[in-house]
Amino acid sequence: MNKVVLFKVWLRSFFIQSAWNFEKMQNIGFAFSILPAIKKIYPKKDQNAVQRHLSFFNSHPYMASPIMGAVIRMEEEKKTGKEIESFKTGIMGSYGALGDSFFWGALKPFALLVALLFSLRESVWAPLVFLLIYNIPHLWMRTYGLWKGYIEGERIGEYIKNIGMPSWIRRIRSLTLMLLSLFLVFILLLFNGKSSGIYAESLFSYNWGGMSLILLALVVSTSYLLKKGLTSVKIIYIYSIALGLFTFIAD
Amino acid sequence: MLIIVSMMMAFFGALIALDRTAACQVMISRPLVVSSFIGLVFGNITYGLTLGFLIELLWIERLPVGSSLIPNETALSVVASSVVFLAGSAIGVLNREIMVFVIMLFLPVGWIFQKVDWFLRDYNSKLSSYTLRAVEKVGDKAVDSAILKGLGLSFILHFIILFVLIVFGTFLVRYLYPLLNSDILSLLGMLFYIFPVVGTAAAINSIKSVRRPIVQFTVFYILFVLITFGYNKL
Repeated sequence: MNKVVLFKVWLRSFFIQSAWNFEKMQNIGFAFSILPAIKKIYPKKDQNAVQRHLSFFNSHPYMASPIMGAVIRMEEEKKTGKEIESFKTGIMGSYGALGDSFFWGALKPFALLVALLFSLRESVWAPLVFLLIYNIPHLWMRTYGLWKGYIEGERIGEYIKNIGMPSWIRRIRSLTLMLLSLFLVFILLLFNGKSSGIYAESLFSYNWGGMSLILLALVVSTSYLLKKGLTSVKIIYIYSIALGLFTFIAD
Repeated sequence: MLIIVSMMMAFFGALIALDRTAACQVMISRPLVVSSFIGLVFGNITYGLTLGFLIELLWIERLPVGSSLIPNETALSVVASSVVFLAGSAIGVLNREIMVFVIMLFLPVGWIFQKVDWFLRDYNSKLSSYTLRAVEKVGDKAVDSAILKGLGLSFILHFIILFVLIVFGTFLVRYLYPLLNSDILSLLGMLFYIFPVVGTAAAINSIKSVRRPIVQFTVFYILFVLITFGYNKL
């Protein structure tokens, strides 16, 4: 397979979810992405090859790239439709779960938190910092994943296993927890008038030891409410009503 | 003027909303990025950044895992940011209170667009069945056409609804905000500081596969407070 065709597949892979549907999920997007390769492998139009890739497919959008690469290799090796289908079915679920945990569950909150720390300092670089931290692993998975999938074929599962994504997930989440506590300390400093800018307010400058405990108690109680099934948005509304009532009674 | 600017914002919003699920997913649709960009367009990136910061905190724990549909934070960012700058410049107010007021007022926008996303996915299901049949007749062109239709409908729906909401929202805030008395304004000012608290708690709860995250968080927090306190004493 020449690199131009793989580049076309790579570009199209960004549209894997453009026709996401409840029935067959990413089926159209998957077929759309690998279409240049299918046309190359089957110059005499083979509708069966296109149609078999319109069957159910659902994985994480970035993790679909190594699968695409492997499927292209299998098509090239003239594997049967059944073999390819069984490979896709076997791998998409676990890749999807891994991608959800790594990209959505670990990397995104981490990158956002770093950017939020920047934005607390009113740094205009905050959005760029977020995009950079998030997209390096993302684009690596889309690009190198597709290439590696093409090189490894059916053995791509082994490669992903060797990267050790689950251990990265744990590390990133622990780091996120640490950054979260740092974030709250920054908030404390802002409450305390120790910083300048739009967020700064000398709200509690008289007792910041006590304020740090009040803030912690608020976070812990909010976390409890969230665990009880309330969403952040509902909690914001509840707090605003409670604050309103408190102010009204205090007056 | 309002109509033209609202159309431009709705166009930008509809385009950027594609990044959320339909195309690319390079995260330019996150509130922090969207609101900062809108702030830059209106000549005040700091306020744009702050708006993005506040909305981001409310959505930090919501993960679009599998087939789940979450309220649309991108649409909320586009509407809230556009309305803050358009209504704010009309009434001569640009502060934390108007930002919190607009976000609180337009939070349901997230749910409106959640329904839009639901409708789009339902439409795509019909598109999928149609494509399967069409491939037999017209070949692989049917697949390309399905992708274009999916993207096109998403863009058009987002554009129309965003445009209506921005225009309506601007008029509403221009009328309502001057009616707020000082008590409500000070309440909005206090709420500004509640967002980071709720966001932090939400982010802690989103951390799975780490043992007792709240305990670990508390330990780190106390440690950092002591270090900072000690540093300030010195």
